[in-house]
Amino acid sequence: MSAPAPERARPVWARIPGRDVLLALLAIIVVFGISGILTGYQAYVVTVVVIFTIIGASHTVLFGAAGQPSVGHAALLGAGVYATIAMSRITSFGMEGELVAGIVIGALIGVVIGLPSLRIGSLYLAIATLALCIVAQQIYFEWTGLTGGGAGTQVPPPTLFGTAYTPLGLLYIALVVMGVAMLFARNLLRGRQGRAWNAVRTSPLAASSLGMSLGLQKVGAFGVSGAMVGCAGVLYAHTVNYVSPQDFSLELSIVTLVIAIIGGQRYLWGAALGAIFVEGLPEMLRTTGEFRYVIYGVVFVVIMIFFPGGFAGGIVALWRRFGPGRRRAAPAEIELAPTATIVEAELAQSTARGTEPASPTAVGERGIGLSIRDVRVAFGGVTAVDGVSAEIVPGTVVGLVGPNGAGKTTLLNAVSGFVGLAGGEIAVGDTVLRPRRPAQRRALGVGRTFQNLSLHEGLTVMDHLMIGQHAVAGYGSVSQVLRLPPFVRGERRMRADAIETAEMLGLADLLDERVENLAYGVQKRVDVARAVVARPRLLLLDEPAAGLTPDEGDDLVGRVLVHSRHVGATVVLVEHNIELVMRVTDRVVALNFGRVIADDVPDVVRRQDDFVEAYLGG
Amino acid sequence: MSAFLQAIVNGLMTGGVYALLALSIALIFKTMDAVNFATASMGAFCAFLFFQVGTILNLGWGAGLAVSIVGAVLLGWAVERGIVRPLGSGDLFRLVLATMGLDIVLNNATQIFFGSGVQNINAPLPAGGVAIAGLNIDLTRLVILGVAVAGAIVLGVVLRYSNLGVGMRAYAQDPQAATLMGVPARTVSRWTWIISSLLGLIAAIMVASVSVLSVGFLQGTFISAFTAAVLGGLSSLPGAVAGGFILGVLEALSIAYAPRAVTIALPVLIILVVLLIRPAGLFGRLSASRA
Repeated sequence: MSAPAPERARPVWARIPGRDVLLALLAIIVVFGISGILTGYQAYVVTVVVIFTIIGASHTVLFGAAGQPSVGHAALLGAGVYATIAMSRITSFGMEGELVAGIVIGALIGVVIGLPSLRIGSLYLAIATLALCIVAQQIYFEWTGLTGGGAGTQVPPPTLFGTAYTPLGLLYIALVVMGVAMLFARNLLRGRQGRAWNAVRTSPLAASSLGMSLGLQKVGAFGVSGAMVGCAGVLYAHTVNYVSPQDFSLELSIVTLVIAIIGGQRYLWGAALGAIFVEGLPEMLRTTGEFRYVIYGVVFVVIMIFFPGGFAGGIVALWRRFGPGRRRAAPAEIELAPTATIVEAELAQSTARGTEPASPTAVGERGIGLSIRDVRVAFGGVTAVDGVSAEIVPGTVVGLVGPNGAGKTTLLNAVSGFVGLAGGEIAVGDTVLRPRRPAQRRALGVGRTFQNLSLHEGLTVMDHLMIGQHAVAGYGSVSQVLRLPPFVRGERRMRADAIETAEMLGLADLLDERVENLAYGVQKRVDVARAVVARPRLLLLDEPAAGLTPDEGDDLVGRVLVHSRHVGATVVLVEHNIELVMRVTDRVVALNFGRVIADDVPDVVRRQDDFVEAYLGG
Repeated sequence: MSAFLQAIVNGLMTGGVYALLALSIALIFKTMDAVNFATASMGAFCAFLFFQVGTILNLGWGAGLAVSIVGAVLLGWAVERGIVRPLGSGDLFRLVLATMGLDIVLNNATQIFFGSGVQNINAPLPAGGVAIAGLNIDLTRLVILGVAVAGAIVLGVVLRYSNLGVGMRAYAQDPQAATLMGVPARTVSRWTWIISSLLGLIAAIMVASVSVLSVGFLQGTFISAFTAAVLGGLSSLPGAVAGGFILGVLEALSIAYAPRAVTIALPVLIILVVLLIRPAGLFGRLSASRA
């Protein structure tokens, strides 16, 4: 292993693990402490703020992380409320049973509201959730047995394990529930699941190539969000005592979204700020109804225009700028090395480590072959790929070349499952791929890069390297939420692998940089790094050198190929730089007008007439 | 049979208003790629101006119309200048969210300015009904239908033959290319909002004439008009008009023949079915970015 990443001097407090949790705990304890001096009404207001903090945080998960806007959260709150009422009428359980019911019902309705996200994008999804919100309200109105219809219904007083609670006692329960809900959301967001949601939001294409099922991720986020709102609904029912279907209006849905956005939808604590601003301050200041709404409506619009990050986003930006850990000088440029130098250096390094490059037999075991059999891809009347067959032997590097429009990228997209097949089949190893299932590819060990970069805006280089290991994290969501040993081990290993890959590609100094601040050539490296960090058995490189200077291209391709040989991966390299391809590949497949015109070792293809003609014109 | 025909006639007359408000929604969507959730509150605010100046201040309907038209133009201009332009063309969903905020502001501003009471309107429209071929036709609603159809035709003519209309259509297809070709993007954006605001005003006056004037009185119509726009494909103006009339007729038929719950849920069910089966609506084309 080469030199460790340079350790930065960080203040003591920054090194305490889980300091955000401690801080949140402190805030909750402070509220506990001052609760004694609150009047009944003030305790009520604080409880309402706590409830809306949970609902706001549910948008942090759903909208902030997974990018799915919902204006149907009033329906979810209603679900929690009516689950509470039904539970208290049918069973003898107190809030302990109601919370379970609220969470389960909330999650189920959340999934139902989220189902349209399988088919439609964010704006249409917002419309669909709006429609569902109105339907749900109508159902609440019509279901008079449970809800009392337009007249509303009384909620029984809160009990917990047989003990009755006063409004102040209810505040304590609400604080505990909020603490647990926030910890749950925080643990989900930090780790594999949160990274997956961020990946799906920022680049669905890349996310699916990394093995994430877009539908499952989105609907899962709706379920989690629904569970959070459902448990908020239990608290809400007991806090307001008296509920009517009128409460669960479209306006309430919008208010909950406004809370999350004013507070800052990327940060869980932003939800608390938003809830204090929208629900707490006006009550405390005794502002009258309409003015209060005008004020927060105006604030909301101003925030949308000038501070899309909300309060929390603004505070974080100020902290980054003026806080103790403010940015250091820009890191030095990446040093470029010609391919030959890299290969030599790598060999020297591995000899020094005492590890040999993978032997040919090991390569055969690890690398996986790709069989393309008579594949056709058509867009409308245009046949982009017209009966292409190619056999790619495990552990080899194969160049896929051809003039613009020859069908190279389309073929790659067919292998990745982004486009359907009009005929033929594609197999990785012994497994025939199912068309249009991009997430299936990663499970078989296929990784790919993107010609036009498909990076995750707003995330750091390190985030990209961790997202790249989604499929090989080795732990599930339960481990993640409870912070069990598999999670700790998995994160540690992925972090080490990420640093190793970053060093290999010259990104080690840039791990904390956000990708949109990087130069194009560096972004290209990040795109490649994300694909190779999980050690794919078959790596598809889509024009890795395009847009780079010849030196940059040489350097990047050289480093990746050395790495692939090392770990014994099969590589398909789509590239326009013919000289580069001829130099580094074992075999070249040339396409023109969607057909194979050459398929042989580089030296033979180079002299083939129709290949030369396709390139130089004829 | 005559009950059936009567339902169709009633539906067509309601559909005219839906079509008008759906045009207001579709026009914004076509050029901005965003749904204006403040459509109803913008129209309602201007309708209040019309009726307040017309009846309560007793200055006559002409003055009311003049004031409310100026109000609608100013409101459209202000929204474009104050919200749409500063937001820029980055994340379009931010514009949608901002219109939700605007809706909250306008609804409550209406309440502050004009009070929260419910006013019955004595609109300057002919009252009574006529019987034609055994069908009962309400004159007020007939006039409203006429105004709506005239409004749609005027809009169609303006968009087809004026420079502005050509610019709008070019801008809708590709804002960047249109700007490079010399289409004045700001002018197009400004007039889109002003025209949309005017359409909202007309629809709001029409709705108030046959119902009541109160804060949020246009919200129900907005949901229906929105459904009509979705049905027509959101970005298609002829689709919005057709969607308006189709929805009007479907609603009237369900009032006549279906249980009440179906009538109430009808718009929403249509939205869900259209979005899930054919998000492009009956007339729209779906661009990849929205899918």
